[in-house]
Amino acid sequence: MSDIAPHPPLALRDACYAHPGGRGVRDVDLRIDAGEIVALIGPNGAGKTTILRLAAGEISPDSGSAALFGSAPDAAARRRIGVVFQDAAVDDLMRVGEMLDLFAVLHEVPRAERRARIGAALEQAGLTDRAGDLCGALSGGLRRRLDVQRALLHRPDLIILDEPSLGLDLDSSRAVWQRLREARDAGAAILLATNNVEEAEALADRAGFILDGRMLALDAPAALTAGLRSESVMLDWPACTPDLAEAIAGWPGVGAVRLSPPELHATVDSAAAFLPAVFERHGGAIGGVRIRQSSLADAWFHLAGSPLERETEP
Amino acid sequence: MSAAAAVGALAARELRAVARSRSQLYSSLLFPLMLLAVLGAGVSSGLSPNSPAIADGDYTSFLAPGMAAMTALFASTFSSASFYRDRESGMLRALFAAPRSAFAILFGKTVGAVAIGSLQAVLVLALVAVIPGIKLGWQFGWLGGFATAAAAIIALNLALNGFALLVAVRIRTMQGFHLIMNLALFPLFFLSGAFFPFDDAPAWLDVIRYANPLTYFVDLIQYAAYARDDSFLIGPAISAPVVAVLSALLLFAGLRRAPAA
Repeated sequence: MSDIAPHPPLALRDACYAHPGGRGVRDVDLRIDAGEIVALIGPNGAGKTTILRLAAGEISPDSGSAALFGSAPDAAARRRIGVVFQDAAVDDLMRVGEMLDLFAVLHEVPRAERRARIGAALEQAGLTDRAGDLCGALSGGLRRRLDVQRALLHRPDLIILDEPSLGLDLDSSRAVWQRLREARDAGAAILLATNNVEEAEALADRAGFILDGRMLALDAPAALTAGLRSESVMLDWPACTPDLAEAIAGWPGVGAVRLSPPELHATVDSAAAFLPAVFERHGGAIGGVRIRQSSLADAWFHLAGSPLERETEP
Repeated sequence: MSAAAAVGALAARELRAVARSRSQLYSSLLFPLMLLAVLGAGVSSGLSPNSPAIADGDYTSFLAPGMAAMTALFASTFSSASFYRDRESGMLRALFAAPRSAFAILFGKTVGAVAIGSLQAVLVLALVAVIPGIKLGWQFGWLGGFATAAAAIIALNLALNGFALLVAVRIRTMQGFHLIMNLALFPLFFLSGAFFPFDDAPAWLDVIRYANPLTYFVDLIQYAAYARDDSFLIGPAISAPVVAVLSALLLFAGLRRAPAA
């Protein structure tokens, strides 16, 4: 990585952007410092990708500002960023090694270092033996790993990733996550969008919740989940009323409670203690129960009032 | 230097892609040769053309330079469609995210496409030149004539790729792109003089002939490679400068704006 800049790698201030169809983002404030991973969490269409495009300089805000390393996005700034798009950018008619070589040239990796960097990238992606294969022959997981290496080859100071583990098996996801942690530890700032809570919890130093184009919250995962108890219980309970929900919130061992009909969501110290009590009083009206360890998904539920569209398993 | 390296890397990528798309390569080369054999022999023997522009009624030889131009037409259309392939694969966004101007990215891809189209068309011209029975009338000796025809073919590819970029900026789908290219280019090509001489054409056809940009490219190739009697041609004094201006204008117009990624 180059020397740490006096300006943050990314600073969005009151950034607004409207797509022709009307959707977009409003009043987004986001600063990312070197050596930090920020995950944007939200359902599909919430505005995560728009924020990434603003961050990458692909689009300019209608109002507010977007600064990369303290100035407007330009070619000099683009030299210092690496972008991974939602769909892997891989040319099926190129060989694996050729892909990396092309982007090494485009990103001005010094000729003397090119071969060593490409070799290291292939090794990190688990593709050393397949450097001569056409990219079209790679599996989805290997294409994604190659795509991530493509974006990191020039050792960017700011890395922007859209759903980096989308469609990957757990091994491939973990390999990508490990590579991102290494980049962060080497000083890179990383902004990623995901609706995979496990990914955000595995990587993020801070998480931002995005809904309807607005940043609902931006903080460390521990701060976002601070009001939650250790276990999360979802009750399928169409007849539950706000008064009942408020009453349950007052029970001992119960933390945040949110009614989002037909579901009641509660974080509790112990589901084993909570469930007999609730079933004893209201069991006949409850159609189903789900229990899990409390996570950012629960923090999301309590802030947004509805569950994330996708479950968290990669 | 690094800009040149980027353009070279992008151009090499286009060349490798075509080399790996064998069907595209073979069809671009074989179709003009097949058309030359079938149409040339059919017209020569079946219609016995007696235009003074067609020496000895040998329509196959008359058609040969036009087939080189047609190869360029096919090749540049195929190559320019790579913008759509790159858009679908996400490569176009990745390329534009690199610290290079859109002009440099487009120029690199265009250099590759022009090289592909020119190599294929020059190869077709070289092949037809050695086919027994085809009589080409090279100007300035065969080397000078071949070089002049090759220069006209390169200019044609520059113009066609510039035009294809102008279309690609405006048309979102590859199907639409091919439709527009075919609708725009093939009528112009049929009326360029590649398929029939204009020596006895009615006045309205002559108007179309002179208004048709492709006419000047075909005219120059025919002059360099075929014309023993150039009275049926516009002639290089006019066609050469028009070719130079048209190819430069279309290329720069095409490179001015990048297709959406």
